[in-house]
Formats: sequence, C-alpha cells, structure tokens
Amino acid sequence: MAERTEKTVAKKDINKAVETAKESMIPPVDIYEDNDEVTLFADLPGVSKDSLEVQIDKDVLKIFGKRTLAKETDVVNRYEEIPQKDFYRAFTIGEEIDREKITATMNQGVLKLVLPKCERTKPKRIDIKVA
Amino acid sequence: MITRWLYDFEPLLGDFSRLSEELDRLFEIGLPLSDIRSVPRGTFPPVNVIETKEGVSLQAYIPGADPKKIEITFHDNALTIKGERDTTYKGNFHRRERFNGTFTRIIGLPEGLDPDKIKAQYRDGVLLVTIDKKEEQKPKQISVSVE
Repeated sequence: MAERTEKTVAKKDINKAVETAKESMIPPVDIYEDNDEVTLFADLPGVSKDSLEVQIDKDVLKIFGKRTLAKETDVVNRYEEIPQKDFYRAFTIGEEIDREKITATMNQGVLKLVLPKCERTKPKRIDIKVA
Repeated sequence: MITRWLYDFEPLLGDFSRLSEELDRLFEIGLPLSDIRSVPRGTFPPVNVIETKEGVSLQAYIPGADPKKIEITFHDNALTIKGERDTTYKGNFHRRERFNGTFTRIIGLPEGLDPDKIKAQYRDGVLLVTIDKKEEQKPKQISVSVE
C-alpha cells in the first residue's frame, strides 16, 4: 500500500509540473560532469538576470525564465518560430550535490549552473600499500 | 540541429517529442509546395518577425554569442544573419541539446523597406533588427477639409 501512496503523490507532482509547463517552453540544455561538479547550461534568450528564478525544492532543481513579452497591437506576425511563452524546465538531483554551494550566472541569455558535489561523494584514490 | 524550446511540454516528453520532430521533418521533406526560403522546424537561430506601420522588426534568438562575430547584411529584401557560437565545455557530457558551431539564416522580408534605416542591437541573447519602411510606403492620414 505504501508504494501506491507514493505513486499517487508522484503523479500529482507530475501533473503540477505539466500544468506549469503547458504554459511554457522547454529550453535546450547542455549538461557536463566531472569528478568535482555537474555543470548545466541553458539557452534562455530574452531572459535577464532579474527575470530568472532557480529553485531547489527537495530533490528537484527548477528553472523559471520570464520573458518580457511584446504586447504590441496593430502588428502583423510574419514569422513566429518562438511562441510568446516563458521558459520552464526541471531536473531531479541526487544527494551527492551540495545544495549550499550551487552557483548560477547569467550571460547574454545563457544560464550557467554549477552544482558541486559533496566532498565525501567525490571519487577517492586509494593507495595500495605493499606489505 | 534541434532546438527543443520550439515544442510544448507534454507528459512523457523526451522520446515522444523527438519522435514527433522526426515525423514533422519527414512530412516537411515531402511537402509538394514550400517557400524557397523556408527552413525546417528547429533551425538555429529561431526568428520572429513582426510588421508594423512604421517598419519591420526581427528578433533572432542567439543566446551566448559574441556580437562582434554576428554579421548582418541586407540586400534585395533579404536579411542575412551569419555568426557562430562555441558551446563546448570540459568534462564528459550527459546532454548536448544546444546548437554549437556556425550558422547562416536568410530571411525574406516584405517589399518597400529602406536599406539606409536599419538598426541592430544585441541584448540578453536576442538580436533585434529594425528596418523602417520607405516614406512612401507608410500609411498616410488624409484630412478632410470642410468647405
């Protein structure tokens, strides 16, 4: 039974995420990893430093990017390859990420998130002693 | 190169949206009639163009580019945007969805634009190009005189 409850909760969370996301676009991302950290880059054109929000909710990393949307009247849309929507994307992260040390920088519409790993989870080299 | 932000979020996204992109592409190739300057969905950079009474304004979404490396030319009502961006980084990658490399886009614009009145600015990763219409193309208000 316990498993079932868990599943219902997870479904609710997904539904909520879908509701938020239906109104938004998914930005493309690059994600790299080395021994020390996970690094995420997201394309958020039209989003400034002030209109960006990065949240950590338990084990979910959420990225919200508000765009300043043009609400001009009396115009003809010739091309519209990007809809007038905000950006939203979320990722689950593991225990090994040090929540306190996450840094975010925004440069010309590109978000760079550095997610350092906790010291204890970093791979360690074990010296082998010759007896 | 596929830019994912063009597609709305759906549950079970990833694979299904990829599948739908592939289907779109398949059908687009098979379209019997398309504009000579049209491009497949997901071409980088995506562009929005709006036309007002005063002129045309074009937004090209090129986040993280060096504005010095963006080249804009306007000839015969076609605007060409050329540039490059380097998204490579250290370490192993899990995902690489962002466009990397050089790009060129040619966008056909309406007739009657003034090539001497082009302005371009780059802000928050958006290139904004505005071109005014020639004076004779702008709508005129004619006042009615009372005799």
